[in-house]
Amino acid sequence: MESKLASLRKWLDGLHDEPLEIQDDTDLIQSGVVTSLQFVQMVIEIERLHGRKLDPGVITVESMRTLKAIDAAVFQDA
Amino acid sequence: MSAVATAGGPAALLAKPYWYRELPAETDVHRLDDGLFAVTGNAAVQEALTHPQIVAEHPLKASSRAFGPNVLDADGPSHRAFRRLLAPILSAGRIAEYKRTLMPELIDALVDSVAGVETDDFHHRFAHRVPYGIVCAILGVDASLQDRFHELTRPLARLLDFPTEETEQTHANVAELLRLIEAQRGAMTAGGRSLLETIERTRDEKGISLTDDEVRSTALLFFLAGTETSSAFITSLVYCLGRGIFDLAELGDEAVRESFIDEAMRLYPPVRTIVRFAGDDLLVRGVPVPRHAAVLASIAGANRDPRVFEHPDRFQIGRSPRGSIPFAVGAHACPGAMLAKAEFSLLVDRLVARCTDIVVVRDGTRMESQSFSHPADFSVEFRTKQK
Ligand code: HEM
Repeated sequence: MESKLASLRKWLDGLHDEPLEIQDDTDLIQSGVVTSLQFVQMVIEIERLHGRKLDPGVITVESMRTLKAIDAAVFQDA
Repeated sequence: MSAVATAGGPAALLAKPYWYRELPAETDVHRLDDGLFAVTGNAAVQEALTHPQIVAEHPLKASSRAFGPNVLDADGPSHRAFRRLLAPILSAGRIAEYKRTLMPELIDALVDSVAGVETDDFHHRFAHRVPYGIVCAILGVDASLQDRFHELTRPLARLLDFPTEETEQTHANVAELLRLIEAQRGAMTAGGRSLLETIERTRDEKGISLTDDEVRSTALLFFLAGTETSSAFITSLVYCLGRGIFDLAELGDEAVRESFIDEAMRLYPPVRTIVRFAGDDLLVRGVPVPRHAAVLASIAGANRDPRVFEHPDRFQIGRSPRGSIPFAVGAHACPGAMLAKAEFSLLVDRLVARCTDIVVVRDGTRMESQSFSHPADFSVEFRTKQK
């Protein structure tokens, strides 16, 4: 089965018409991978992939800034 | 529920000033995308803005990331604490005082500078002068810094807009404004009556306990909320004065003037779209909205709902303002509404005393912005009695 991180990467890819290079440490906002509203929408996708509600303390700018940070804060911590 | 198909997707839709018109009229709650909903009719917008589980706080929201914890992005007890800090400086007694001592000089100076003038950039050249003067004084910022604050604050408005513009420049401007506010906080020159001094005095009272960061962020947010909304609306007000076919002298009557201002606010609310978040899985008008979804409430749509306002797009002085919500409703409803209305009334009063006619001589009919909206491409002439 595809890892949750790979699925999230696919979701981010799906936001764009052109293929994207998203590194594990790409700053999702500053690089323009997501718009401000999509950054907020991304939380729903992460929660869906995670399979249960996120602890509010996990939804911080730092833990959502890069794929690496999301993996460490959410998926690895499962 | 499938998403409404919109050309170019939600971002392109929200860039349109009248985006609510592009959505199906049969429903008031529209799914634009996964986790993105739009609410359009008057009753639905009011329901969303007063819904106990629809919240303002979201740590990933652009304004909260940029400004840090502040009144606009807080809910519950911490939000009420922020509001208590603002209450004394926006009380009816204080507004009466500002009307006597602060506003006349600023308004007369503006009227002097526009009298006899034709301009194609009223918003940039003139609209900010009165609001920045007033808010600087209330906040406790030295008048000599007013232009600097204007220069730094105006681009920041894009941080609260749709689509949001977040650049190194906006971040640098926030940092510089917070630094200037910190310096003013230290200066304390307003005899204890400014917002910064009031906050300093009361922040540890009645269980309110704010960090220095929260004080600075709230001061900055207050500044932006008080200046850019009013500058945008003064531009709309001048536009409405210039487009109307009526005797300006009629507005010398306070009741007529207030009705005119109410109608301009209904049709041209500066804050056209408000963003909120579903704190849990919930229903708006019976439509399921999932937890964490962004909910965009259209004030502009609510104010032109044909179920509430007959001929909603018609400018009609004298209609009841009931249901018009330019200052929003609910916990975050604008605390500066009374101050703003006093400022606009005095401004119109002085303009009509001085001008025989205000005429929009060119109109590109373009609106700009969702959060600080105003007509953006018109020329206006202020004709005076001497001319
Ligand atoms: C045309 C003038 C104005 C309009 C149309 C307006 C409209 C609004 C609206 C719609 C909100 C709610 C925003 C949201 O919930 O996201 C708001 C909030 C706010 N406004 Fe105003 N405003 C105006 C002038 C002012 C002035 C003059 C001040 C202060 C001097 C002010 C201070 C604030 C503050 C501090 C908030 C945040 C309140 C909270 O989050 O609880 N506004 N305003």
